[in-house]
Amino acid sequence: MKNLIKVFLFSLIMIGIFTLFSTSYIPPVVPEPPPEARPLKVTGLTLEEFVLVGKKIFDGTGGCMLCHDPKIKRAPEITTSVRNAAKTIELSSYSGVAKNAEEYLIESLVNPSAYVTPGYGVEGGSPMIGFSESLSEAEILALVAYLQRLSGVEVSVKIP
Amino acid sequence: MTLFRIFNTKDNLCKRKFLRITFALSLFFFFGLLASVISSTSPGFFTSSALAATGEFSSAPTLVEADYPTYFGLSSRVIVWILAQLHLFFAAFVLAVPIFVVILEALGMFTKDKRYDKTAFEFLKVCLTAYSVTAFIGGLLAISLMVLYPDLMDYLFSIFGSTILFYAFIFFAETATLYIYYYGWRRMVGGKKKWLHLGVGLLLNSFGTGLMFVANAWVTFMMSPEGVDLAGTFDGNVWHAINNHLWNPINLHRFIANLAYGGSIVGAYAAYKFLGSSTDEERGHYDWMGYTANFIAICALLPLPFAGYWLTAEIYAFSQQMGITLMGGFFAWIFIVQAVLIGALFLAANYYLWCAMERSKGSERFTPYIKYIGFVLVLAFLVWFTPHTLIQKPWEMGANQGGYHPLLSPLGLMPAKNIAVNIMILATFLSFLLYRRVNILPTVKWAKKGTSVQVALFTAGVLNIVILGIYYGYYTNTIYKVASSVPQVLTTLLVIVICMIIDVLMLRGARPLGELRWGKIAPRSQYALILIAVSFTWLMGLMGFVRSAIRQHWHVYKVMRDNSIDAFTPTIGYASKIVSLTTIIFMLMIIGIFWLGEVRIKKDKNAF
Repeated sequence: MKNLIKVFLFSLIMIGIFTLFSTSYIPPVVPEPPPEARPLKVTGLTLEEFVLVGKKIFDGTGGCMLCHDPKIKRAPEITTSVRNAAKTIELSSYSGVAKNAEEYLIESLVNPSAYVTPGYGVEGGSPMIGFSESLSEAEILALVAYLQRLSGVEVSVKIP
Repeated sequence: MTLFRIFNTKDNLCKRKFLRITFALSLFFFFGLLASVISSTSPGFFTSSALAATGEFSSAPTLVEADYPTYFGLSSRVIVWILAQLHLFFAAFVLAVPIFVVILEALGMFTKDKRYDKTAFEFLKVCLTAYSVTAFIGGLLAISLMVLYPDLMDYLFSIFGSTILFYAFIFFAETATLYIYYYGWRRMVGGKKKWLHLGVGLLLNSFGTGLMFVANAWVTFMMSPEGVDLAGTFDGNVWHAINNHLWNPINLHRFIANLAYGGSIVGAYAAYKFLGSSTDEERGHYDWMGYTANFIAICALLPLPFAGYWLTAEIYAFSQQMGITLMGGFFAWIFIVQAVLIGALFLAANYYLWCAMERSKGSERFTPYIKYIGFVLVLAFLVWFTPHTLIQKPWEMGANQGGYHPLLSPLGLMPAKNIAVNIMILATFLSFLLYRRVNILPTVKWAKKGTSVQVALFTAGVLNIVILGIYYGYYTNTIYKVASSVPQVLTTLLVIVICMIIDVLMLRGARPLGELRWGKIAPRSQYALILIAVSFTWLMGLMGFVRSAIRQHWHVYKVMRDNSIDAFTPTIGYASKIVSLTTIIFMLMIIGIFWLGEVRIKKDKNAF
């Protein structure tokens, strides 16, 4: 019985240390609450409301800042990419099919591997997933509208 | 007490057998009853093929908070969490123990060493009680899921209904083979009978592993659903849902982890028995048992990080977003806790090997090297332990120009962790190589050259791991960061395999320096074995939480949303408290099972 108590106490102390470490050393970050449930209303909206829908996707289901956070540098800085969209499609190395800046942004969301920004993956193999299956067409347009607003360029997207 | 008197009376053998078989069959019929209740309440259950033919599958339901029943103000999530984790602990144990019981039996057959058979049978007895407890908790879990999450279960049954029947069949087959294996131990002795018995053991393990694979299909479907469209409408082919993206990675990871876990629990049992032994013979037996169990646990532990890499890579491949949530988002901090636990595991395993060297004369030759191995282990542990973002005071943030320390921050990235874990594995393997040589001296002519080749291999291996990690991890394109882990892993495996081959050849006909005195080991070493088991249990609980929580607010990822009051991700601190509570409950239960096993062992002490 004496050994049983010693072994049990030893185990309790170890469990206590693990718990203490997890509760005191690890920062007490409270995760974001779940994003608003979809489907988002995307028809019959004003432009501002439409942009707001895009912001909700950007902050929520899109999870964009997981990679595009400029501090993390896991993916290109998003506002710069949006501002340079028109120039990007003029590059000789550009391998996509977009004809203008808006189409380029849509293409980047639907088929990210069409053109990969140098330094962030290999040609034809972007680490980013395409959103064609997880977002509706209207939601993708709303996201593009928000990206344009965020980057300080004119919102060219037409509300469906 | 009356029950125990029955169990302790030799002439009541038939009654005992009858009771056990009745209990096993009761469990089987319990599952059968459960299935029939579900089939009567759930329209989709058992009817997937029929519905497929008529195209009547409905989409995943959209739930509101009121759709989740609660009772007595208790948190449904916590109830299911604790029961699921307890079930997993026991399931891992009862799946793993028969695997290495069979390995021990085979070793006993080949080496003619009776200790293997004795130890194997001792563990099968413990496993028998644990098996019943596993099934009981599994039943409780199933009931609680159906009561607390009826719509989710209804949806899952509409897809996996047919697999439940298959699951029940395998459960029955596993129970039957377990009892045949157990009761046949003393009857199927010698010659072909023993081979037949070993065959039953293999069959038992096949059923056990099959059972796990079926359950894994349900779990992984919730993480990476396939065979359904975006709205969750099932295409009618259950194989599509089973063979989802994460099914095989989880199958492999759990299989290896179960082996390591089972070994660690058996090691802890042996350690506890060693500490309480009153004779040299007993001490020798339990010391040997502890060493063997720990050896199996560590052998399984070494490839486990690689199976983990594969699983993580497949999570990324399935969903970049899920992968980043796991490794780069909120859950990234979990891996710092994991680093502490795995660090504890490696340090304890090495410490045990170093203590074990004292069993024989000749250990003093290797004592000077231990401090260097220890230093490398601690260094690698510290690298693994370093987070990418540091907790800083405002003035420190200012000095560092943000949350990232200029020198320590790179150590928080995966390439540095990969270097650390590979070196930890190699250091542990080196401890094992030294232990193997402790009481023998190689006599082959090429012994010095052989040792030099081994040293060169270790040096080249470590250099390759470090260079690959630094170059591909920090100086090339992002996409190569993860890819560099593959050649690192291959380097580690290559060093281990080639060094082991050289060692085996070199130690043939080696001159003994002294006997391995089983039982002559410091009692403090046994606490290392107990620490390994506790760390493993806690780690399993923690990683179980992560696996489930990366679905975030989804019951079935991106298909069926969780709209319950518990649909938020808890903090790591909160999760760790639940994990600790579950670990303590498990420990208390397993102590009870060991005690019951002891009652049986005392009764059968003259069996061998």
